[in-house]
Amino acid sequence: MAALIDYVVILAHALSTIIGIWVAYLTFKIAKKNVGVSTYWTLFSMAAILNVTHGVMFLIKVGLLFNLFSVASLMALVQQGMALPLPSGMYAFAHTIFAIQGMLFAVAGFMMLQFYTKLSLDMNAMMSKGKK
Amino acid sequence: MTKKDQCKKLMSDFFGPATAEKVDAMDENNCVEQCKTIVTNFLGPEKAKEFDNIN
Repeated sequence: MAALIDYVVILAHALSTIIGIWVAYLTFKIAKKNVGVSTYWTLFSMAAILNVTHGVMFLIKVGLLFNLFSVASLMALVQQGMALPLPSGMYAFAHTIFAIQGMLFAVAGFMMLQFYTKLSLDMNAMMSKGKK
Repeated sequence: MTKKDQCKKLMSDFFGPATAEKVDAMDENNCVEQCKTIVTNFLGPEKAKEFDNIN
């Protein structure tokens, strides 16, 4: 059962990472054309940070599943690197924040995509009607 | 400033430069009406009133 949950978690991470990168790419394409440079950089850097973080989390999960390293050794490495004690619950808290941010970003990306796609289609239809 | 230029400016303010460029393909006589319809459909009649000031 535990292994099944691990596989589901891995699949969810892989899917959310792939979908997140795809939405970020499409949003980037539209934002670059329509919204302007500063907004595009804000959106794109947000998506990049989110997806890189999610990707790293995913790799850590894979590493743990295949016993490439243990949670204790990972925490020791993080604590050594940061020279700070890691409070318990920090991982879950950070993950929740990233998940909420990711969902908001994905919703915003899809809304933007939907809006500009409909706008473009409507304008094309109106112009072709006008020419007839 | 032509009607097309004024429409382009308003469409750029509302939707951005890529959408404003589409006004180039519109007819000078119909562009105000067409842009007003688009803005009414997407942003509401209040915003579309901006097109009433185009001469």
